[in-house]
Amino acid sequence: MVSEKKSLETLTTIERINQQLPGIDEIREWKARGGKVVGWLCDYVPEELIHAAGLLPVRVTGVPKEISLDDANAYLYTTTCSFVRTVFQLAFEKKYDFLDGFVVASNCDHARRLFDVWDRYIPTPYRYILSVPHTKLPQAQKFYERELVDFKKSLEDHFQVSIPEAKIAESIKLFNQARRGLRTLNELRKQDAPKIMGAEIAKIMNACEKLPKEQFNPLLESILQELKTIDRENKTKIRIMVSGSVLNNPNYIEFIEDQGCTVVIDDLCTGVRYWWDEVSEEKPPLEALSYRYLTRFPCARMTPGEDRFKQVAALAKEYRVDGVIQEMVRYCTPTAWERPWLRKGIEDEEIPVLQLEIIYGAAGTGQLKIRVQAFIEMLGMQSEEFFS
Amino acid sequence: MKPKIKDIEINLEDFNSMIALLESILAHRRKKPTTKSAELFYAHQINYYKAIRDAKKNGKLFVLHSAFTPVEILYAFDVVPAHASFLVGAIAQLTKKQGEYMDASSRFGYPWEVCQGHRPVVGGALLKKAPKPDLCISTQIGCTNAASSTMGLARAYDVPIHYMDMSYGGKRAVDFSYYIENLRELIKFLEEFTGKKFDWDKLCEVVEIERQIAEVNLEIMEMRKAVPSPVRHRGFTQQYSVDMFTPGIPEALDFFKCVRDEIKENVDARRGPIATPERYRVLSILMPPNFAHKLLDWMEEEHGVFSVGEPHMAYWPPNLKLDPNHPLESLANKYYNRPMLAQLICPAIDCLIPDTIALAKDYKADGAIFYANVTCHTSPVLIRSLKDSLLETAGIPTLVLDMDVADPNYTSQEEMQERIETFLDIMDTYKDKRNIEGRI
Repeated sequence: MVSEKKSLETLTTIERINQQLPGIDEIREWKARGGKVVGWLCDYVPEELIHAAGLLPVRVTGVPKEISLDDANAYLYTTTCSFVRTVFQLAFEKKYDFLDGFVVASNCDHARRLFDVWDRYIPTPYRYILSVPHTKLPQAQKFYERELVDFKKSLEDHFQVSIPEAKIAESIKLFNQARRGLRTLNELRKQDAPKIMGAEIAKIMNACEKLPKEQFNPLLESILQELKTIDRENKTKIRIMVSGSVLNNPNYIEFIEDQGCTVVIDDLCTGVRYWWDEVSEEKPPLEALSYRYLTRFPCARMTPGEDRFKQVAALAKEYRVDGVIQEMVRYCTPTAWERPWLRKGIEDEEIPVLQLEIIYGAAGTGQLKIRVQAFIEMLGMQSEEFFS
Repeated sequence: MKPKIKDIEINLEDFNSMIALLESILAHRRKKPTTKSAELFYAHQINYYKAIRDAKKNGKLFVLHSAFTPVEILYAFDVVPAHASFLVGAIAQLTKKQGEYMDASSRFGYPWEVCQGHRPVVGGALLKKAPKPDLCISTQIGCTNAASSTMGLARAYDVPIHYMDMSYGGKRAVDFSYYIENLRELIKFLEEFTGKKFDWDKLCEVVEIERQIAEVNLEIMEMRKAVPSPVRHRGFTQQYSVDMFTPGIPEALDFFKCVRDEIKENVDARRGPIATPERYRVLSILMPPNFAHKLLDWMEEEHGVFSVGEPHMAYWPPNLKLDPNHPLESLANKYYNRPMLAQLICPAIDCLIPDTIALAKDYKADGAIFYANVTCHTSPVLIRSLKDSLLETAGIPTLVLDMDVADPNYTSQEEMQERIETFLDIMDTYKDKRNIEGRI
């Protein structure tokens, strides 16, 4: 583990943000200045368009703990994805009352139906669902670009703003800056003894997806600067990738790392899939957004799945992981169908896999601890220390 | 060593047993006839499965497809199509081997939460008990389970697969034009795969027959408004299967014409389909359990409960217009409007909810039964929204039957019967209330 005495000073704001989720000081300040906030669910919603409209895009997530879902179970269904139920529960409890809009991408059955139920029962003034193709073929990109044209018009009509191409181009540059910063941060995790832990990265991602990018980018830069100079020792040897969908509870990652490893990279919607690919600054903005969002590091809903299996396996090798923990949020259908094949794809590269299921928002439990401990121990016995 | 799926010999014993069982059911139906359409239904099923069994012998390619794949295109290529989950699900269910197929899926790594209606598909492929196709087509629609089970089978059998995309949004012009582009992509792919030129004349013929099927179904929809209901409770399950499996073939048209004529006879005579008089008219939402179609018989025979509307299974909207001179446009129109896809492909506020309310009002429903398959993630999530909407607008109550579409251990037929019996009193109470309010 990283030396417990040396916490990163520049993470103080990040820690405070994680304590305040889902509504944070910066969102309140934005609203107090007359700003409007549009929540988005799923990485296929192009934040840049929302930002170019002068609105604050904020990822709609849960909180870093498991919560009671009694109302969500009554309005949705007990076998609806636990992430979607958590989000609805928070909205029902008015924790998302600060939203002026809510945008969902049609990425999976659960998200689509969340939109339907939210549309009926949560009075967010603006609600929109984007149709996202399942392939990257040219006609799919053209279709998605048309969707973005309609989405842009919808934002303009509802919020009474204009979104010229120049503004979109500026937003693209700003968000690309965030992506580059996150890439630089994640490159540091390739080191033999990374100075930054996976749990800390998860906290940074939570903050990134809530803060205005104008505030996040300099904050990230300060973190990168501190990491250059701080003396932090990391004695763990086992390197882990966490693969899955949405994961907003850093305590879950911390729990894994407490068993004697470092999470050095991920394959998560709230991680690598958020920042991996930049938007081209050379193409016309809507075409560039369509291309990037549709062809980015794929999630389980895209076809053919084999593209993703190869990319995840390649990423695991790039980061020299010793093992992959595949976490599945309970009732996540795309992950459930693809995970045996993703597992096969990773094991084809001779990287062991541990499969876990979690209720979204939960941290580690006794049973999980035993399984993760056993996995880490097994990896330790196979490490290069003992084998050439 | 790279892990590989075991390459074992395919064993079609279960598949052949299923055909034999269906043949014995048909023989029984002929000995003790109920309706002509019931006979035609079983004959249709047998012909469907035999075509799959004999595809290779007849020199035809066998193409396994996911739900809502435009089968009309496959007919134009003269291949033998098969609906993945219905085929393997039927093999598992009729041979009472659901458990074995599900277990195989589970051992491979599929968790319980993937739809039980689709989980046997990959189990059947891993056990090598499902017929091996030459090609799979997975249509990406508003149901991840349907698309994914076919993908899993293709991987387990290591056969080529083509992905056909559909947009989510409903019936916008942009959705139709995207769909047509993807149809063209599918045709181009199949030309390369089969080495044959696409037969546009054949497609037009198929679409013309499907146009007639749609017209007959619209007639059926209109006649079903009659009181008493002129259709047997389980009729909609058969109608759904026939069009899903074999759209646009003469046998399907004959079946629907027979159903229409039987209904017309009952409507003209102002009678129901069986001796038990009608006491309750219900909407059937989603799909009743595969193992308990006798539940539907029990409802009508014991309590006079008849299903008058099924938004997911037998709702043919009036805007479904097919024109054989514009076959691709017709397929776009059909697939965005046909049951059950119409209810999955757009926001509930645009389709499922208004369609269900319209059915409740037009068909004078006393209540609704929601068959809530616990592993379905597209529809039970809308239970509350539908219940509230039906109560607010049509004044009718909804019974939710939480069940597993394929596993009687979750909720048995007897447990469902108990709940339905309690619901009858609730429907009476709400009917009295609507009477007092002048809504009837």
